[in-house]
Amino acid sequence: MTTTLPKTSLSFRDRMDVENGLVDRKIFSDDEIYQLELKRVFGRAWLFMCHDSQIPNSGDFFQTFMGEEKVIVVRNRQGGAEVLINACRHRGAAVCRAHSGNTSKFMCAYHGWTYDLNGNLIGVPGNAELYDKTIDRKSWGLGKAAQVMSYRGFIFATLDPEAPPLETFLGGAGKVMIDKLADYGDIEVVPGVIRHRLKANWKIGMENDQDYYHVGITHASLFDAWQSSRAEVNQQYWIDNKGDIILGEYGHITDTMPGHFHSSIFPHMSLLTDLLQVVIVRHPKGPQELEMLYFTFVDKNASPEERKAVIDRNIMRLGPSGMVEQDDGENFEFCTTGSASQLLRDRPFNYQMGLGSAKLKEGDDRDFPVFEGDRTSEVYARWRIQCWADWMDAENWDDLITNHSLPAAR
Amino acid sequence: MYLNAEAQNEIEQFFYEEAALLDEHRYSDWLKLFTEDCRYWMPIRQTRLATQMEDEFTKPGEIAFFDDDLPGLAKRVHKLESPYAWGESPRPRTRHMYHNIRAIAVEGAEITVSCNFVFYRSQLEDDVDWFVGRREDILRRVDGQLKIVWRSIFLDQTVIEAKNMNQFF
Repeated sequence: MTTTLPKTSLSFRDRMDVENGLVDRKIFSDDEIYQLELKRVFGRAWLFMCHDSQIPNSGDFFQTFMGEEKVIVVRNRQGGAEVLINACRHRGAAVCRAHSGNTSKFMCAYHGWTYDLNGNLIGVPGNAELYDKTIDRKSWGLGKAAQVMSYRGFIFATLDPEAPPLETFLGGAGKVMIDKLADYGDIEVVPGVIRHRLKANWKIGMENDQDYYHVGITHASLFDAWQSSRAEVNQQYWIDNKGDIILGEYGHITDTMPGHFHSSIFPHMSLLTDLLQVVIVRHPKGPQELEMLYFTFVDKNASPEERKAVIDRNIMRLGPSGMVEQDDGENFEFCTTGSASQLLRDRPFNYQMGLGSAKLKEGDDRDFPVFEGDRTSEVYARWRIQCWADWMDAENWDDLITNHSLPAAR
Repeated sequence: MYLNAEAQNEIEQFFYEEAALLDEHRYSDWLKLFTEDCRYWMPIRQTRLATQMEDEFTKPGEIAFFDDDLPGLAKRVHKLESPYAWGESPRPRTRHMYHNIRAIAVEGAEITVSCNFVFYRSQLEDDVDWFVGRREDILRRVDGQLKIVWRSIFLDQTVIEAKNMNQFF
């Protein structure tokens, strides 16, 4: 695959100086970079689709995205999960028009081409009268994800047939992030997936999950409502912030901040645990737009009181009406707009907080490196962007496996 | 069911007064319109097949955009009135409009009223949001004044396109 960028351009690793905390602002708004991102990041990575509990029975489906592509995750008659591209093979119209539900087949409402739960074409109106029975149904099934695998009930899919198995992609660090949520019990998604769009780049949203610098400022009105003083908030986030930092291969991140434990599976899945029990996925919808999906998890065996407490905590904080996240969306939009500045196009963003502060933790017996240092730091953001550049520079999965960055003190 | 003109007028005036409080950003005064045992609830709506509409909205106890009792609502008011409520500065220009106001049930001292709403918000220079939907309010007379016991807000959008929902409906 050749890059669509001019030949004179440097690699993504070279066009920014991550080690010194300088990042090219264009990566957050440039359309050419974004188009390459759809191929090299979203066309290649394992992407979270939904949880087993959302589609327990044959014919249960849930609509989501792979990159910008609309996909249907459906439980087939054999008990497996299929990920089907929601576009009829005849003229491309949608074959599924609901966010979720149950169906025995997917029929295009334009000319009636009909597909079974495995995506096979099973009906072509007028096949005898109009096509003289020449349509070879086997050749005209729905497009599908190249691979579908799950880990502890979390269903992932990739568009790349060359992608290594899901667990290789997750690595020890990525699995720990999912384990933290899965270990709450026999978990299920509570009905009510929030879908929220912002005019913001998806990477800016992702970065905010491990940004504890902004908390006392952006959310100052929240702390007024909760009657916490600025000094308390800054003590918690800026002073008492030593601890473990997990930087996983391919860009997975966990901060281990008590009450937060914000984890991100590269590229666009965040798991907020320890206090909240939620997964947020930030789908790209253009260089300057995203759609966020929120999934709240609770143990099926939780008492009614425990269940209510989990749900209430999430509702109070999350989504466009959540008292925390009400304040975040506007920042994401402003940053995205600022990243597109033409006057400032040669001036990088500053990512210099905590340079060199994350040290390898000696004697940790986990099967991946663990670091320790200031948890309020831009070490996560630098790591994510360094890994993002690896993905963007790699020609294919083999290249990525050979040349991706390995976590080290930074 | 039809209310007589006097009862209909009282409910309409009550809602118009409420709209004025919200649009004038008098949130603490607005909060006084609710009873001690109130609930302020906006379920999540999703796009469903016409044959499977029973799960279009989440139910009480499931995920919601808002599911507040009076203390919860008071926290939201306190937040909006903080000098650090960035979303309130510059003040958004809001307009709450209520239409098709009709009683749908009367039970003892409580009356259930349905109305359609249009909530327009102009923010900063050129940010514009339209929130459109239906409200269902259980109203009760307390010391001669109508109060809101349970407000349900059914937004028509299933994908929220506004950058936030800071204000009230």
